[in-house]
Amino acid sequence: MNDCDCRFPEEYLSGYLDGVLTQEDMQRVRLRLEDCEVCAAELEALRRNREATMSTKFKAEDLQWDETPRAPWSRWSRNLGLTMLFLYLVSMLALAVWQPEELPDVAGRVVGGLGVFGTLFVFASVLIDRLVVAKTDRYRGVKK
Amino acid sequence: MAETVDATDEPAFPRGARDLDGGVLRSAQAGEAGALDELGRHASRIAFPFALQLLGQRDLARDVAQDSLVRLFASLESFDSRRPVEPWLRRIVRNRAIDVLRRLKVRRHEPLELVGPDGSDERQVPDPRVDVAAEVQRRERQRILYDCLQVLSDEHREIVVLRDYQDLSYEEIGDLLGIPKGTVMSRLHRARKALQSEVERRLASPGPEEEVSR
Repeated sequence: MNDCDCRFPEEYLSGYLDGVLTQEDMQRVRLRLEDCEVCAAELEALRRNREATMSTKFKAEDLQWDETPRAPWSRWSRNLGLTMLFLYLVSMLALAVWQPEELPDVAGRVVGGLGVFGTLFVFASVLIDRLVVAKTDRYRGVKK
Repeated sequence: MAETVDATDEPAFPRGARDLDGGVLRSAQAGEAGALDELGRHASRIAFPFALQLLGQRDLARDVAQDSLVRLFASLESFDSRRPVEPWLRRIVRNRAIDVLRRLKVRRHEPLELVGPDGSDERQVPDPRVDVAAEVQRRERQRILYDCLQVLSDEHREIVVLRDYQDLSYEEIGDLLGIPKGTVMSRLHRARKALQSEVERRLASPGPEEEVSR
């Protein structure tokens, strides 16, 4: 604590500096500062420090973020496609192990459909990514 | 620019324009490359200095900031775009910085590389309109404060960084640290006093670095 007998909590000096006290407390501190040299000097030191820290400029740094986020449609399409392809592979594997005598027509079509549409969805996702990149490529004009 | 604040007035430090427009955030969430780019630049302007202030080392700060950006982008879609992005980013950076500080056995820090008010390099020709002596003195003070900041406890350094370098309000600091406003004030004041006594100690007995350069 200070050497003075200020009748407010010490941290009110910081609160005063930052202007966060109630109007009444601001007034209390202000009046006290007129009489108490210790408090006035302490506030002045805090104020100078804050002025210096606030005006300190830090040299910037170029950062990179290597995970380019995808457009939601692309991600959606890719996840769906990959799920379908996974199901396709699982059913093909099951069929190879099980080797049924007679496969219902519908089942064959469903499995085939999973394979074809799964591939299409994954392809669509890649296409969306490419289109987005092409539309916003800053280096479009740069020849390789 | 250096603010001249009348000591008898209620001091006021302007808050810089630094909040990202909500529209940019929404476009970024929709995957628009231009908006993602802007979000990335905006985020790195916040993340790197903040990490540097908390850690005091450029290489660590770069890693933490970079990692924080990757995390930000990874969870971008699930973020509520009506809320500001900055507190969220600061929380990520702070958590990563705490992880790093826990791992560090010995804290060392690099000298502050100062830049001019307009972001230019320090070594460039100074603006003749600026009072050179005052400017040199101000920079000296900035450097000493930054050096002394590194000596404080993690808790004290953090709150000084949040208030006096990042210029967050008491409410924002309270939200980030999970403490009430009154605790912010008392902890901040203890930290500022610790910083000030470190500055006085340093000025009374210059360290070996200062002696070499004089």
